[in-house]
Amino acid sequence: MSSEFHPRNEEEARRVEEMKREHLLLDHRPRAEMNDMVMEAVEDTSREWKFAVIVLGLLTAVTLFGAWGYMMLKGLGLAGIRRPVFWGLFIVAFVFWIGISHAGTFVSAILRVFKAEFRRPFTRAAELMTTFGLAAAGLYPLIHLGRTWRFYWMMPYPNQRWLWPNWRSPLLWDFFAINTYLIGSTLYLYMPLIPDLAMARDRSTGWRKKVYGLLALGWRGTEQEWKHLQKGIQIFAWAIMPVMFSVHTIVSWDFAVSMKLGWHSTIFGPYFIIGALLSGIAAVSVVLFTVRATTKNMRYFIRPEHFDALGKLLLIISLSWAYFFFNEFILEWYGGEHTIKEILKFYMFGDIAPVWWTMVTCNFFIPGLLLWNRKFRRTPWLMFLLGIVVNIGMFAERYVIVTGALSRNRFPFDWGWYEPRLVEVSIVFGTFMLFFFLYTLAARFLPLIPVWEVEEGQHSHTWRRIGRAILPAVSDLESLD
Amino acid sequence: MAGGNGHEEHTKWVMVIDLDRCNGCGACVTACAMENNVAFVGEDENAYGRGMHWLRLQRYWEGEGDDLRVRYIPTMCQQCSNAPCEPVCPVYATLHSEAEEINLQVYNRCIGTRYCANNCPYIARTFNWFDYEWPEPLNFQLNPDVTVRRRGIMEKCTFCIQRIRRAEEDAKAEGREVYDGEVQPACAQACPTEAIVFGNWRDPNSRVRQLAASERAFKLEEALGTEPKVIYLAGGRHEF
Amino acid sequence: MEGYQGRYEPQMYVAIFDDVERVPDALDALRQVGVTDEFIQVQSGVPYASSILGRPRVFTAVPKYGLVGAFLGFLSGLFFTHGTAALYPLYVGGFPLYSVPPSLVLLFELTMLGLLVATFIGVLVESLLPPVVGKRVYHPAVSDSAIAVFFQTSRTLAAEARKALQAAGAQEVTEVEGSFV
Repeated sequence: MSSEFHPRNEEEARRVEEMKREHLLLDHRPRAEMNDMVMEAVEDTSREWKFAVIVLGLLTAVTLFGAWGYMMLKGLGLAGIRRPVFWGLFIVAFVFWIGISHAGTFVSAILRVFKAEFRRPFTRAAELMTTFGLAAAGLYPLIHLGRTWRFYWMMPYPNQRWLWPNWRSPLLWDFFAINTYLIGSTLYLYMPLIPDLAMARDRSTGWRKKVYGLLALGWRGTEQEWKHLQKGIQIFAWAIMPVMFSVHTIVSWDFAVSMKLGWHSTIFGPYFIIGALLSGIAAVSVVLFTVRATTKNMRYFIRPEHFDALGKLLLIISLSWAYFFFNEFILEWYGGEHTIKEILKFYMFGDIAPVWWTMVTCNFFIPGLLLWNRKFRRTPWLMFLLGIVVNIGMFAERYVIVTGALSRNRFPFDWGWYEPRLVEVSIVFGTFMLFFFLYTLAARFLPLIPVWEVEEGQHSHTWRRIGRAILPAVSDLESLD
Repeated sequence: MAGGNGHEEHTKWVMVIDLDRCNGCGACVTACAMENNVAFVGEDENAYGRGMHWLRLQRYWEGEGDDLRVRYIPTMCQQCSNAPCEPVCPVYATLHSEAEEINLQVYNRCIGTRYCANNCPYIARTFNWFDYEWPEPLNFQLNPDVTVRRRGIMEKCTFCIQRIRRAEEDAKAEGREVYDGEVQPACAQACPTEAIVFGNWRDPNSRVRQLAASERAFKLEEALGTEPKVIYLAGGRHEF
Repeated sequence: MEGYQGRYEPQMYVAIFDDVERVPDALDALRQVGVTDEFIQVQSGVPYASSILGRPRVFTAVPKYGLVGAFLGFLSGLFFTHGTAALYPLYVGGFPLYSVPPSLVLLFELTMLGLLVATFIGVLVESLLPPVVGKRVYHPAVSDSAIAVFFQTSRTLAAEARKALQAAGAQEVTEVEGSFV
């Protein structure tokens, strides 16, 4: 497809160069070269990478599975939870990881549906985050059980007397919602990956060729294959969004359908979704920075324009979070129910106050004040740091909601407080290690950049001259039949 | 409702606790623990908030100086008709018994999500954080009628269902109805001031029915609509 | 070398193009020679709509798979909510045995699960992936964004087709083994 543009003078040539530096999709490169770049990145199993994999693997084994096994053997009492705070760090981390898993699909599906072109290079990096975030989250409903070895009783199958699980329980809704989302988002990750796996199959040797060949399912790129695949991706992009919204809504219903004051709130569904997107999009910028810094050739694909776009999204979400937070907080406080007042007092001035103020600061004040600045949004390492700060804030938010509300009850006799203990801190740390471990492994196995989507984007971007100005022009190739 | 269990009209067990009579001695707590094999968790764990008592004495101080008063409210599972703990359990480990109209806890079905405990407005449930040992000689007093629970499951007051069943079977063997006062949970039996009375609500002449007719009768957090089966008689601002 | 019979046996050929702009004209040239559309297959490294290539429109039944899956998912949801309640009636929290609002959650999730899984299966089945038997034609240059035009014709017509394709800008035209699907 011809995308040649002939500048008329030096001024125009300079302007074209500038825009090429700025926009990946204007900076055309031959597909073979992009394939080489991506394959070089994937096959770059350097010593540092091997070291990282071994260290992360060992840390996962010890801090997650070691501590979990020890806790199963001894009893859940090794965690700090006590009456009346029956849920602690495990549920906090569960909600946190579910939140992380949201942004991948959000970025990919919503931006795909709205044909936001800047999404193209980083959808896959974000979707991988969804899959591994869910892998980490999915462990917690097992970890936090008193009898983990009986977890399969929650699965939808009958016992010998035809007793099925209780479908009225929000925990069962969780089970179905998380499984639907896990299966859906994994397939959604896999479908656009098939052509890239075929590309990897064509350019690799040895075991890689065999594995890529198996995973590529004999993809050849015929007209029929493309048509069906694109239809499938289109259906997924639409259908995965309500599933994604439902998952975090249902997680929030674990709290909201209860009789617990501080939990029983009608705004929890959207409040949790916005929170999930806040932490998730912040995590995307962390992941993108890390990928860019540690993987070859990624500086070409992931550019300041992408951090800029994420920064704007993050700003909107941060303000929305503040809006929901304000709604949740002030209405309950204004209503003035006695126990609610005690809970809110506990949040702001009680034992949990440092966590509560961390939440407000990291989720609203810091991103809300900094992200207005274009220079800030376009500096990847600053966006990386901000991503970590926002995630600390969102972890704090879940901590306040889960353990804070449980600490104050209707009868003052049942007031309590909870402090995490080493074993549960270790397990939560371990799931972070698990996430990093899986991501590090995948980063040297799967093509992190959807090359065919980038090429498609570069095809659809051309130049247009209006008067004396030169502008990028985008043609909507996807609308063709 | 004609139940499926052969009961023409089943019994509805209720408890009446007269707070004016309760002096906070704690005999009920001890009796309950002994009757129901409630685990002995040790001093440190108990201080940490992991005591397994099914029945607790809520104690509130009022006033200051010479006017200092104390109020006791013995609180156990309120056996709600609309129990918030039941629908949230994913595996039906806690559910409603149609025969006795009480709230059951099926120990060997429980997987320990602890959701029920969070959703209980009375914080009446306790969790087995560890496998607990009964130090000698306490192990000799274990009640053979009651299951010993292991780590990782919830438990709570059962209204001494083993005593209810025994009384019902005795009555059936002798071809009569269970008479009023025949069933006494351990707490009611141990109470020196007879503050706790237990009986069948469906029997119009029962003592619980008469006591509950008092103006002082109330239920804990009645406005929540949980319909508890423990009725309190107000009072009990004791001099200390 | 080859017998009289062999000259009329269908043989597979591939023509490689590096620019999609040349492909529609090349396909026209092929048709002129007498190779009809059902004996042509285009492979590419990025999706090109049939309107770009000037090829007959591809029909996709993937949405139908999705609808059937969604329906089956909905039915399984009905079973999990109302069917299992009937198999072992247990009363909890003063709820009715069959209640609609809480069942909506599972109905939604299982409907969506059915839709998503069936859509994925539809993509595979409709594209006949993965291949089960036989060797399919393929050219690895496709993943480097070359456009491969595979066509099947007799050896007698091949020379003419080759000439027409090269005139239309094909880089190479070679004989290959394998079938379209």
